[in-house]
Amino acid sequence: MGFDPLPYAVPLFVLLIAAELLWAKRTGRMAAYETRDTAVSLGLGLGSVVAGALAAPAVLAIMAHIYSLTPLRIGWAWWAWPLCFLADDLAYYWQHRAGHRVRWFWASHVNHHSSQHYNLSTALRQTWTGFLAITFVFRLPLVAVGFAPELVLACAGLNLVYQFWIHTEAVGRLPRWFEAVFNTPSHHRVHHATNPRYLDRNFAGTFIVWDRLFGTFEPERDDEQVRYGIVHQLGGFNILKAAFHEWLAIGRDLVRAPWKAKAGYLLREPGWSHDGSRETSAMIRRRHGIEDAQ
Amino acid sequence: MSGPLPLALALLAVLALVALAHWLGFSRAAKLSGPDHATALAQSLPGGFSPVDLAISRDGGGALLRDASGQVAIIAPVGAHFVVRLPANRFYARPAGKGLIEVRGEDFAALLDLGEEGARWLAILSGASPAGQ
Ligand SMILES: [Zn+2]
Ligand SMILES: [Zn+2]
Repeated sequence: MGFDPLPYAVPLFVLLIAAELLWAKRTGRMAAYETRDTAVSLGLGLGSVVAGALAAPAVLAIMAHIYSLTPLRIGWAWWAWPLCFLADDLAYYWQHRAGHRVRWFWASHVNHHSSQHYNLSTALRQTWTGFLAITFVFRLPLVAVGFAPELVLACAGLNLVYQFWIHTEAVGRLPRWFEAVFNTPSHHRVHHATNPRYLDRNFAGTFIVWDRLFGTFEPERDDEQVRYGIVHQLGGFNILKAAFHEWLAIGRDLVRAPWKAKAGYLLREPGWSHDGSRETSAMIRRRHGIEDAQ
Repeated sequence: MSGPLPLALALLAVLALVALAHWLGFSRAAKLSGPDHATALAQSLPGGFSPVDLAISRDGGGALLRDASGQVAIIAPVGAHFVVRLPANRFYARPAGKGLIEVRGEDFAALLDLGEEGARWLAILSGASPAGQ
């Protein structure tokens, strides 16, 4: 296994969450945290590390196999790192966008969004079922063009570490040049919001430029209070439900739906239904008079 | 994060952070600020929800709403926030003494203090047909 930045970052994560808790208390922002919500977020983070470690050998083996098939080699020159990070961030953008637009991938990603709070502990709500959802396929093209599998995984890890600090309400806006290029707390608050205008926006990992480029960017407004979570909010703090509820819901829909509609419940966008009894993000946006940019 | 020892350390850190959150007073109950808050929350239901009748629990810990078609929506607390639900599977509402109504569904529960409004809402709830059936 190559370089994994996560173990080095975890002590910093713990210290920063403690600092944010103290900041929230001192400034009277008592809505920033909720004890049970924090327990579920951190528990999901811990579980995702275990799930990731269990899946890592298989993911690495698949990547190594593809690497052995391609004649292309980028190698480990210093410039391979920033190049790989940039390419990986683009792959992440599409993985993340699919994670919101295809229910199969959403089932694995939804737990990152199911908290109604937005704080540094929310960042650690990572998936347990990424391997099951085969989300790693979005990283395979990088290996196919000659990036070493260990390099790709290291860049993916660095990207994840970058995204930690943007899960906070403690940072308002940063200098314009920074907000223009990088994913920031302001941009990512929009991504975690259920406000209709913010639904399915700002899929970026590190560089917000992808959203600007592919038409999914939405700036945070000062005149609209952000509501966090998912459209159909979770009714409790059962960590297993938080990790698996959408998979179970897919299973129920597959059993109940008529044959012609079954694939839709698996592969269409979350909220799609064959009888129109539910709402997709696009339907909610339309209901509120918000035009889709795409 | 390889090996069982760092994982045990991480678990300890998680427990410490959760204890810190509790100690700092972040184990708070949800509180509705008023009818506008309840109405805004109900907007998250598929197709939206326009209440013509509304009752908020006196402690702000939940609400019942009814629209012109007779459909009832329930706002139930979950931690410091709320969920909005329509009566569906395994839904029931029953008196819990002193004007209190206990409302319970598949993944939510609320104890609503509606005072004198309680009996009227209980009648409405018992007539509310489960959604989607
Ligand atoms: Zn997301
Ligand atoms: Zn996030």
